[in-house]
Amino acid sequence: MLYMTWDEGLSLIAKAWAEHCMFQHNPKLKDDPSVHPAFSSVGENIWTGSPSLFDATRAIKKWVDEKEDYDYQGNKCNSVCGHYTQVVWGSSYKVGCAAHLCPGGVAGFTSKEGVVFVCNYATAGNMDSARPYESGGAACSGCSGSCVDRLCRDNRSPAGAPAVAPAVAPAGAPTGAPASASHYPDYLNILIVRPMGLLLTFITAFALHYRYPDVFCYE
Amino acid sequence: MSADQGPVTSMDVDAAFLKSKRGILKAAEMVTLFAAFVCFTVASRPKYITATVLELLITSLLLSLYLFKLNKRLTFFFWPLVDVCNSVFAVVYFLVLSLLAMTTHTVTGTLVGGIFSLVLAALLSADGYILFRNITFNQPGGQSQSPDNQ
Repeated sequence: MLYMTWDEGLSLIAKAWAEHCMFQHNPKLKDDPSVHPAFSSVGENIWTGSPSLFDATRAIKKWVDEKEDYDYQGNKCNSVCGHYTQVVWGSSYKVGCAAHLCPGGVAGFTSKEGVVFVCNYATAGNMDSARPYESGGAACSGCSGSCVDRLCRDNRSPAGAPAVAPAVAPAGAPTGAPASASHYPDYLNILIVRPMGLLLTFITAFALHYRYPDVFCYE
Repeated sequence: MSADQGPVTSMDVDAAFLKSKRGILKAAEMVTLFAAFVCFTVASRPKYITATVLELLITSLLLSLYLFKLNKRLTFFFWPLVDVCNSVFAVVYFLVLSLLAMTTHTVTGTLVGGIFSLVLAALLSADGYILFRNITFNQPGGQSQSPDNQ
């Protein structure tokens, strides 16, 4: 099973979809499995509920608790297990989550205020109705990289980026993830772009004035 | 960094500017911006709230520049050009923001805010266009009458 780390891109995909306030899977993941340039496929878990009930750790635990219904030996499921198998999916090694508060309700769930919590995983799990991970004796038996805490830190990662990123989120429990993906608040773009635009405005005006010193404005 | 010409007098207010076409446009921009700000606040979309607050700040600074005739004192910049360039940037910027707001809206507040942003873009382009028409690039400065003033 691969060691899992946070991915900013995946959290942005999760954020973009959470903002739609819909309790259903992101259709883009199906239409275009390469929504994230670095991964061939992206998987997704969604939790929705009222804001008072929301807690990232609890939401993820809810998914993991599906383990009760899953039978590894027979690879069978008694009710819903897909969230659990995605969380522990052996070849998924990147995760990005985001939560969004929907004051106007969540389509397909509630008309009252609700929170949509989305986690995107890459590469996607739940493929070909296979088992989520191999159980072949010792941990990391099929690992070509280093083995830390019984998790494989493989070096196979897209675009040459190291699979072992400094942001630590152990496999199956990305609970260190901030609930709102607040690494990068979206108003930050605005706070950068607009003042830059103002600066550009002054520079352009100054350059034009320099180029045309005789410029004149009628009142 | 100002007041390099003549004795410093008390600030005179150019109330006539408020009654001019561009003064009215600037005031309308402020009102529209405030309406958009209220909408985005109701919808609690921090990105758009930030954008409208910043723009309110910039517009009010420009408005007070003309209102207190500071453009006559701070002559290091040629203000009409600054104003036009600012309008051009703001039009593009608010067009993008309003389209973003309207396509990703989940609550009515964001949608209405997006519509106000679109109105703002229209007001800004009118403002910039009117001012740009009054600017001439090759006229010797200072001559107030000109034969080829269109």
